[in-house]
Amino acid sequence: MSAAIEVSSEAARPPEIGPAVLLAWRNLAYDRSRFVITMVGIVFAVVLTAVQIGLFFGFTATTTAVIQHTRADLWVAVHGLRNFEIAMPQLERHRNIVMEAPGVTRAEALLVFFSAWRKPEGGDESVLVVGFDPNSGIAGPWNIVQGDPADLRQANTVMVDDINKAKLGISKIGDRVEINGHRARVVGFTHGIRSFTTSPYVFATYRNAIDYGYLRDNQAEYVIARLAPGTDPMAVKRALHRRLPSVDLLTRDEFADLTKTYWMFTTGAGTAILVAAALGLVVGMVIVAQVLYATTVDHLTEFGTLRAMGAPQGFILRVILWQATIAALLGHGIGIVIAMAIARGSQYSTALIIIPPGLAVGLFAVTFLMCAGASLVSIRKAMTIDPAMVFQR
Amino acid sequence: MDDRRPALVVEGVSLVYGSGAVAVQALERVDLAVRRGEMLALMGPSGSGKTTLLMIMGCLLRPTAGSVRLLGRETSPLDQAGMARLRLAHVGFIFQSYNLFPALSAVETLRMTLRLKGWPADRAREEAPRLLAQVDLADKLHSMPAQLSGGQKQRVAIARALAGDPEIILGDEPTAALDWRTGRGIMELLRRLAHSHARSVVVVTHDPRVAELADRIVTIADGRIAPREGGAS
Repeated sequence: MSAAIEVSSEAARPPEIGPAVLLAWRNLAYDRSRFVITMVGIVFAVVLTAVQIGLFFGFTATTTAVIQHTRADLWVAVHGLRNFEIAMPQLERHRNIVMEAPGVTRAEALLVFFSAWRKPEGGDESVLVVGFDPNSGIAGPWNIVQGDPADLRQANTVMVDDINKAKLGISKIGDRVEINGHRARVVGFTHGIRSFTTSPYVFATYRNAIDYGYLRDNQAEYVIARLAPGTDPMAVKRALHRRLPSVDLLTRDEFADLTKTYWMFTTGAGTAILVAAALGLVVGMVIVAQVLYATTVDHLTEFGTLRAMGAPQGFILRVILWQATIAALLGHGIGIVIAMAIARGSQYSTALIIIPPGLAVGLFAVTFLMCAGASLVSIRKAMTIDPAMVFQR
Repeated sequence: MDDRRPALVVEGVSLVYGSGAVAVQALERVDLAVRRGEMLALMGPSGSGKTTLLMIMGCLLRPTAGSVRLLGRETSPLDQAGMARLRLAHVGFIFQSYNLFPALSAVETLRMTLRLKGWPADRAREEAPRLLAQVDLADKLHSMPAQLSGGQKQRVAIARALAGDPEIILGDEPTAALDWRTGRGIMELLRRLAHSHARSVVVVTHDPRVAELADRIVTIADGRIAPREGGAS
């Protein structure tokens, strides 16, 4: 009996990445129509998923925008607070108690209430009035693109966001409206301050807001406080809690989380968006799976020929995975560019879409997994092919 | 080369498909040796077992009995991966339907095959056009299979089988899809390559005119070697 054959190390060495990539690319691109369908499927999935998740991020940012832009370290509200928009009025003495707490440098009232906005040409809209103290700079509008914030100190003035001009029936500084039947004049516009509810924010000084709401003096939905640098907000909270046991004391991040969680999950809005994103992935995956499977099955004879020639299974595995990788790279690239363009367009709409770099990178991983997962069925088919089949045609 | 030792030896090879009442004896105690530099034609009617024998010689099928020695070494201890490595290093295949890759040009097909066999990219880039020139396709380097005639496709397939300089070339009806004139040209090319490079070439055919161009003809009938052998030289 002769010795078993030893194959030279050169022949046994696994092939370099080059030929697998070349064959994968050519297999994908050879049938133009199918290639376009593959790309459309992946791009559809990427765009849908990116936009849905971007909407989730946008809504999340929108729900907490006022909280994040208010330079308050501590928020005090009547017990049972669940979000920024809906809060009960509290007693005036709360502000004084907060002011006396060690570490607190300033405490002031903040008004937040829904109200009716009558347009100059007639018709009503619901708005959310935010009444702030213009002297401290803790709260108030930001990103002002038209008008002078000092003008808000005048009686019966407001600032709104330019995104809501049409909704509020106004077009320029000086337009006159009514809030709860009380006359008001627009003295400026912000840009990009959206409301998660359908009621746009209307910024006014605390004094003017009291008038718009026909409220009693010293009313406040919130007492907001600034702390001295280096003060531990949790220590202030503990100290205040002893004196104000029946109120909710929240740091800025706690209040932002509370509001975010309420709007995104308690109401189901965020869950619906995430489910839509997942569905986009599933639909895209089904399309891609079908096309990648068909691409592999169409080339089964070639894979059989490769196996007959002695190509290792690993080479065929690499070809199919490279098909998935190339499809993912191209589909993700095109999809993200489209999604970014949609996100850019959303800057001028009421629904903000935010696609941070991390989301784009994370979506590539998801797209690759989607394509690789879609290839699994075809991988099995190609790997188990009998090389003898090429002689039986 | 004047080394006339057998490159491929088949001894007492039998193959049975299935078992019990449905067992089919595809090959029965076949003995055959193919020398280096020899071109052998395997003839026989359809279903006689000639392609099955070719697959066993090419390490694509395992016989149920008997042994195959390739380049003096026994193949039976090899597992599937070992058989694949053996094919890749020492055997070139030519198929009836060419089995080219429709998405690769002639030169890309050759380069990919050489890279698959472990050749570095720069050497593969130099060698691929040389192989195509060897089969008179120097002017078709960048042609896609769809742009080639049947004879040209088979020449690309022959060049692919020669890539990496394997000692054994096995062809399954390589001229069946071609007209007689083109088929004769392919057979003459294979014979020339067998003689000039001391390769062992085995070609399955059922066309006696094609078989006559081989150095030796072996006829198979009902899974057995027919007693009489003939040849062109």
